[in-house]
Order: sequence, then structure tokens, then C-alpha cells
Amino acid sequence: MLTRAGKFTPPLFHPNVYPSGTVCLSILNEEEGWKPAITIKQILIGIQDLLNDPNPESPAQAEAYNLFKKDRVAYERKIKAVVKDNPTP
Amino acid sequence: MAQGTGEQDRRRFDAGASGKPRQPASSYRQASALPGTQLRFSSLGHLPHSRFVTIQPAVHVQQLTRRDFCTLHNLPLAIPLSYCEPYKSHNNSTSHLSAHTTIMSLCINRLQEERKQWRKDHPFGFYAKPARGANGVTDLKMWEVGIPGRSGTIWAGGLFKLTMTFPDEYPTKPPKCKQFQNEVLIGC
Repeated sequence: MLTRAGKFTPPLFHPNVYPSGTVCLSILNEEEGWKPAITIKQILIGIQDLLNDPNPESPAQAEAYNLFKKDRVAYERKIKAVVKDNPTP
Repeated sequence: MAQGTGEQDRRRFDAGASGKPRQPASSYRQASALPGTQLRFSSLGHLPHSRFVTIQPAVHVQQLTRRDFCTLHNLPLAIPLSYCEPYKSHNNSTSHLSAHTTIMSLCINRLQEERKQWRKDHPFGFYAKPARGANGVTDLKMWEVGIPGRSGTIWAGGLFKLTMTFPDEYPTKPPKCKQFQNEVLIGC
């Protein structure tokens, strides 16, 4: 019998990613911007936009949010390290 | 029975209850676009008996091909849709479809269409595909996607992997996008 081992990847360092790893984006929220006509392509482009343009109005994790607000230089340095950890193959 | 495809299907689907072929914006098309409208399908040897289906609010009938429509409403593909006619009734109990079946088919149909469109064309550097379970079966309601960091930003050069999970009520409800987890399967 197989079961899932509890290997947990730390959440992406980004103000709008929850500690669980869930992306917080208005168009993905039923009560906010979701419309049935939104395509998968539009969602993915929306997330790509969110990466470089975080929404400080709805912070989802303290670490990235605080650094983004307090020290933009350190934040950008951290993002560059995150990019190195998630390279395009 | 020969089945039309593509454009031919669409034209026939659009032809309308009047039976006049290639007539744009026919009475059938207009009537069926209204949520709550019931359509009556005559038996005509294709079906055991007449049946009624109710157009669901989330269905954009103008965008449906005949194949999609038949699949959605559990009808044989061979049924000539010119034999379908709008039927107004106050009694909804004549619908043969349970609400859950309809919602599920909406979800799966939409995901199949999304898959088709993505394969036809998608932005450079992205990927999106339904996940394969441990048994090798494709799960349309769970997609693995990759989003590249936009060039010219500090995110350039990165590729961010997510899992998209679609609820039964999709597309009425949105999918959930979560960071891809490398799950390790262990024996126990």
C-alpha cells in the first residue's frame, strides 16, 4: 500500500501566496473577480502578472509582505534567489 | 449513421427548429440561448421516447457545437438537431437529467474544450496539462501548470509550477491554484 509522505515545499516567497502554497488572486475568488468565461490561459497570465506586481491590499504571508513593504532592495535580492531555485529548464 | 463535423455541425446546429438550413440567428438558436427554456426532442426513431431538456444558465449555446450540446444533454450524436424544438412548459419535472449530472458534464466539457484550445495555442514558456494519477489515468480536474517569470522583470528566468484543482461546479466556481508539491510515495 502506498501513502503520501508529508514532504512539504515551503511556500513561494511572494506577498500573495499563502503559507499553504495557494495563490491569492481576485479573479480566482468566487466572491470577487471570478467569471465562468475566464479561460485557463487568462488565469495563468494573471498569475504571471501578479508575480511582478503583488497586491499589497491582500497579503497572504507575513514574510514576503513585510520585506516588500519595508526593504524593497532586500526583497528584490530575495526574489532573485527564488528565481535561481526555480529555473526554467 | 454519418456524423457531420466541425463547421458543418455548427451550421446544422444553428439551423433552427424551423428546419431551414443555414439560417443565421434562427428561432431555435435564440430560444435555446435563454436559460430555463425547455427543448423537446422528438422520438423519430432515434430515441425511445420524446424527452425534454432545460437549457442551463451557464451554457452559452452560441458557442456550443452540436457534439458538445449532445454530450451535455446525454443525447445520441446522430440526432438531427433540426428535429429539436423550443418547448415552453411550467413543469420542470419533465427533465430527465439530474442537476448533478448536468453540472459534472458542464465541468468536464469545459475542461476538454480548454485542453483543446490550449493545445491549439498558448503563450510562450507556459505549460498546462491534466495530471496523470498513479494508475496512469488522466485526471481532467487536476492540471499541472508552469508559469514563466516575465522577461524584463526580476522574475525572468524562473519557472513556477502550480497545481490547478477544478471543483465539480467549475466553471461556475473558480479553480484553486496551489504551488506544486513534490509528493513522495512511500510504501507502508
